[in-house]
Amino acid sequence: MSEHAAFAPRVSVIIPTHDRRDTLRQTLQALAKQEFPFERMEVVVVCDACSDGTDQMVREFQAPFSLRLVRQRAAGAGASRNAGVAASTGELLLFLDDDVEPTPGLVAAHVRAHGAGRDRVVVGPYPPVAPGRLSLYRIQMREWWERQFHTMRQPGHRFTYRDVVSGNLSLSRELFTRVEGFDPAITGAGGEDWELGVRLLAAGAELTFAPDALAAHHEHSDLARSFARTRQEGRSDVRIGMRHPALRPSLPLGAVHANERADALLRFFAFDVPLLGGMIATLLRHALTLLERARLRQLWRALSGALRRYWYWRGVAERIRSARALRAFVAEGAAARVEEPLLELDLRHGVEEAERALDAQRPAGARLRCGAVEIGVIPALPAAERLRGAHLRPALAAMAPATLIALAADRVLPPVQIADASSPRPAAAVAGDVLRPAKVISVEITQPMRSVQDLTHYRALRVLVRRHGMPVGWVELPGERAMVSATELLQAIVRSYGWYLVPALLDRALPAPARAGAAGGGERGDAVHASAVRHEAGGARITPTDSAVVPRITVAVCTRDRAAMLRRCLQALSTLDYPSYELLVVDNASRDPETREVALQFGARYVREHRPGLDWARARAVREARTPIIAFTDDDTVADAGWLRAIARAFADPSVAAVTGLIAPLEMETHAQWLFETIYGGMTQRLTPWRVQRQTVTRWQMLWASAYGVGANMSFRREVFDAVGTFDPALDVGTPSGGAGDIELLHRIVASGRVLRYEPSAVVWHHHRATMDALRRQLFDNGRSFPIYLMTCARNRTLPVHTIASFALREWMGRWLLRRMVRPRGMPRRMVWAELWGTMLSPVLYVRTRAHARRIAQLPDEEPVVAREPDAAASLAAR
Amino acid sequence: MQRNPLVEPGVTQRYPWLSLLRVSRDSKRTSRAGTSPIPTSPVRLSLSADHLPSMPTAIVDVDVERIPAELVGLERYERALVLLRVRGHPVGQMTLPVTHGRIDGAAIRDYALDRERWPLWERWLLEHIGWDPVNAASNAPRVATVVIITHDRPDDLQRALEAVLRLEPDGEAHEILVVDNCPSSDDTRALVAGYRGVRYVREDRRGASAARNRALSEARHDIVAFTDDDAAPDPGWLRALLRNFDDPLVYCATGLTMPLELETDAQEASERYTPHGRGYSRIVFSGSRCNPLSVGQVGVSLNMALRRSVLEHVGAFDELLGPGTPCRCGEDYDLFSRILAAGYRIVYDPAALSWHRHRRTWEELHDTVFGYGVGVYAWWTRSVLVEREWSAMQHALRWFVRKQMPTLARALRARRRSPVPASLVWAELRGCMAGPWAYLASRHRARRASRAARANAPAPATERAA
Repeated sequence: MSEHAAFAPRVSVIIPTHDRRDTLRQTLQALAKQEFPFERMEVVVVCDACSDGTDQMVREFQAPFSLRLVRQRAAGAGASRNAGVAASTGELLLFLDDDVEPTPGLVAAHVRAHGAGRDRVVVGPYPPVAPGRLSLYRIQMREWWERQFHTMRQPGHRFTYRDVVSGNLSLSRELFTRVEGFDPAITGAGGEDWELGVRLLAAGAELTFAPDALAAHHEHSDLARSFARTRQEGRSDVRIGMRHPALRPSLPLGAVHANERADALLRFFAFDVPLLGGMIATLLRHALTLLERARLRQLWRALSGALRRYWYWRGVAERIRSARALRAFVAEGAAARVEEPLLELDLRHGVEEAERALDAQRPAGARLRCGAVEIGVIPALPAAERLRGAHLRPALAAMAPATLIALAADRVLPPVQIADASSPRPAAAVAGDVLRPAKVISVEITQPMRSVQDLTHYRALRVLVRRHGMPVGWVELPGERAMVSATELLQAIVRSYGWYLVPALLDRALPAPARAGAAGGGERGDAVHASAVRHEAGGARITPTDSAVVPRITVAVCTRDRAAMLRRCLQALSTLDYPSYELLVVDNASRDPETREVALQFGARYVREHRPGLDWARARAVREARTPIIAFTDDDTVADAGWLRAIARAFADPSVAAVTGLIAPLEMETHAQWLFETIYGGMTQRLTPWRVQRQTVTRWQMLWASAYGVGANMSFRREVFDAVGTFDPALDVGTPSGGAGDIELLHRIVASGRVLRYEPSAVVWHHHRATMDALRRQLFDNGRSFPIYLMTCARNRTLPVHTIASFALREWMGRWLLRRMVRPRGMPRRMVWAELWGTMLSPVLYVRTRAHARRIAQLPDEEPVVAREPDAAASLAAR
Repeated sequence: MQRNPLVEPGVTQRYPWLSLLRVSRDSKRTSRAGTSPIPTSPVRLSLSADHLPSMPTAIVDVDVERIPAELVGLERYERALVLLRVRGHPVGQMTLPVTHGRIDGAAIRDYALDRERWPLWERWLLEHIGWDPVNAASNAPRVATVVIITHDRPDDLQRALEAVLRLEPDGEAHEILVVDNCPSSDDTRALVAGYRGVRYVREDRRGASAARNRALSEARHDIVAFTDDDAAPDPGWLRALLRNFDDPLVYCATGLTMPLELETDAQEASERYTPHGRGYSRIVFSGSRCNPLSVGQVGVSLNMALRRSVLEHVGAFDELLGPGTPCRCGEDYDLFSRILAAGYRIVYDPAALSWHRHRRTWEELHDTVFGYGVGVYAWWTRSVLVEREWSAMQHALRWFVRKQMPTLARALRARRRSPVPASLVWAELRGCMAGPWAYLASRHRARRASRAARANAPAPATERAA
């Protein structure tokens, strides 16, 4: 090996020892078998206060290499190694422990691993020799060591000072003297190598792991000794913290700030009553033996972990007297920390590019992102290796979910519009200085994201996130600022709903099914063979495409004396994205003539129903409609552009009799609107499709008709009305019942065994009541109409009467009203009271609404009013 | 499936409680005089499974990057179990309907993208960024001994051998060893002689444990991979198993086992009730964290590899357990449990894929499931008696009360809709009750045999290892 030949240093093997004559002899014997020229090798044994004749043994040892003995008095492993270095002459220092037995190739492997690198620190593995069935402690110990070496062996491992273990470690004398060797202030064994590691890394040393520099570790510790060693680590950690203040928070003793109750108790015993604590700990250590004998492994692990922690705190307590002083010690370190800037890495240009950037710049930490979406941060750890390119892929794999989402967002979503990503508009002056609850917007994520301006007067921004029209969910961002940038909006959306993008990413990344020469069935060709020819006729999938299914739809709006609202409603309805539909405005005995004008202005067919009552108007709409599908909405809504398209898609399934959809709040400008939407539960809020069918829902679910649809967004096949009847004229607005005509029909359809589909992509934006008084009135209406609806169901025998009665008592009165009365959860109690009051009046009102309906039904069917159609409007104008 | 006689008559006379076992066996024999293709339940609680739809399921194996436009030639089937892979790594499975003998490739793809979540996504990402945490460090051995344990099933063995010979070599060729356990004829030897480079070993001590121990001592390589005669490993199986031995603490690796065919109702029920697969995520069971008594999720012995040093550090398979003994199985659970108790690790790696032919008839299936019950409880009995794992009793009780009784109750309640017939659950339950006695019977038999051997020959006979 040329590298080997070029770098031929003299190696000084330094072995500190204390009373371990036999294992040391093993180590020396193994060194005598090294496949390394002995003339370039010397061994220095440092006897630290040995009393078992170790020095005698060393002196008498017949070594093929130069063997020197240094003696000193109880100064600790670090000082021993320093003394050994002082007594040695080689350029390369190799530290071995006295219980580490090297394999024949160890020294050569170390030299090889150094290569020509001057500032390299090479760690070799020395796993404990502990085969077979062991005590739980020894299993744990073996696991620790093996894991340590296994992780160090991984190609993308990022070394920290904790990887500098001195049992099998080599570095150049030059580097060793540059960092001034081991800290002699750390007496005892444990922690001095980590402290050296901190300084080595600070000096820019490069840590390497040499798997072939293998040695066997003849570990003979037990629990008591291991606790003593843990105590020593506590002491050493304080020393490390003193020399390197920035490291304090990340040392185990930094946990003093994490307020963990169990740990705090251990600290109390360690700092405040150490004598008592020590006695208890010793007793419990003996209890561990019993636990082990009873095979109570979990308990053993928990207890031994607690004891270890206790002895660590005891070690700390020997140097720092009180927990308060320790807290100050750690806080001081946190303040002393200098944050290094993170390198910004964009993975859009490929992983290799990012690796090259890391290799070139060697930053302390990096912030990874893909386009506008952040993946995560590789933190700038104190006393750790600076980042290399090789660290990137393991880090990405460890952050796999975030990486996937960021990749998906970058590849699937259109880029943020740069023009929109900056400069807030000057805030428009708003009358009154009240903060409004929320601004409501809808964002289609397949479109380029835009910034949202003018949020100064809103407490929050509420975003309905949609993908291809399908609502995915809501995102809320804080308001009270000039704008939310497009990037921030995108990040918030991706953070919440990035998962939805991953299938789309894979859909792009994976090749489409092969057309020809396909090899299906893999190796298992016995059952399956693939054909090269695609059979178009037989197995073609039926997917309801938009172009295939466009039934003609009548959009019916029933209105009364609300011309301004109707105008907004019709404005939206007249620009729907749907090829063939007609608008039908049913004027329910309006007193002002403007309704008609507005209807005609938007080219709607205008019909006047003179009998007062919303259900009379709806029934009229059913009679007037000439299309296979009728969609209803209210006059206080704004329909989404894709509304009819979604409805038509849902009706493509021939079994579906009725379709309902999502009703989102048009605005949340007032507290009343916010209350209704967030606390009361709004109208329909479900975001997943639902096929409501008598067989698949429970009876109570069937009775909660308002959960699967309300009148502001419902549509029907015409035949349904022939089969189950039309709207019940005794119900809904304009009658003493005050509502529930819509849900009664929906319930009747489901109860008759037909399928109702709740389709969240059919969105209607509803203008909720703006004032508290109007809200209270609405809740009163809900309160009286819902029981009347239940009584109507009982009258129609859609379900057994006892089911309806128990539903009314337990679900409506109990769970819905009384529980909310007791715990309103943010709803003003008078609102709940209004609903309850309505319910209490409902039996009387039921009788009255029935009588009222009978009276109205005696009125003539038709008032002599002309029904005008769009084409008739021209003739009207001409007259 | 041929099984050895459960207990010898002499033992039964001396231990009357063993009649529990014998009676059930006898009743099975008499009720099953003449093999009928109809699932006649071997137990008296006869809740037959004939309500289950009787149609075979095709097994399809596709790579999401190479989905064919259409799969045809499935006329016999009404549905297909599709195994999905990403560059050879199994990432998920799904059941799709077969229409007119065909499956549309686009349907597979849509379904995969829609339903298959994390394993598929993660695998795709790792391939995309070019990093596999498991393959990263390459200290793993590249060559192994593959052992096929067989017992009088030359037809199945032939398929297993063909599959093993198709394993992708990684440099040096693997050693292939067929251990013939207590053969009744020389058919197997003749069959193996026809293959080059396959070593034949005959083990006359009865039981799969004895055969496996023999294989461990005969094997030349450090890693020994086991498969059964009714399984057919995938070409990448061995490599996937071997990569897990990079970690020196890993003493055992198991893999994903999929059904080779689902042609009969019994096979369907088998796959539903006792699936051999353990999911599509790699799991490391570490002895320093896991409870060694719950190893149900670890895997199955027909798809595993062991480090040979398991013999000295953990001990061999217990020859009182396993097929061919009164305990009928459980030797794998026992070994897994001891590996974990010794602090070593077991890896379940779904990349190591093997195909297993499930039992075709209801008789065989009931017999097998009964055997599972016996084996598990026999193993727990052993844990208490030999390993002094007292909590095994708690485990056994908890499993009985919380798992099996409710399963049986569910199966009984929903007779028509239950995915598994209650008779199957009942068979397992019966097995559980027989398990402890079976272990004692096995122990007694071994003692008697060793006494007899001592009396006959001065040389030490084959003793149980553990």
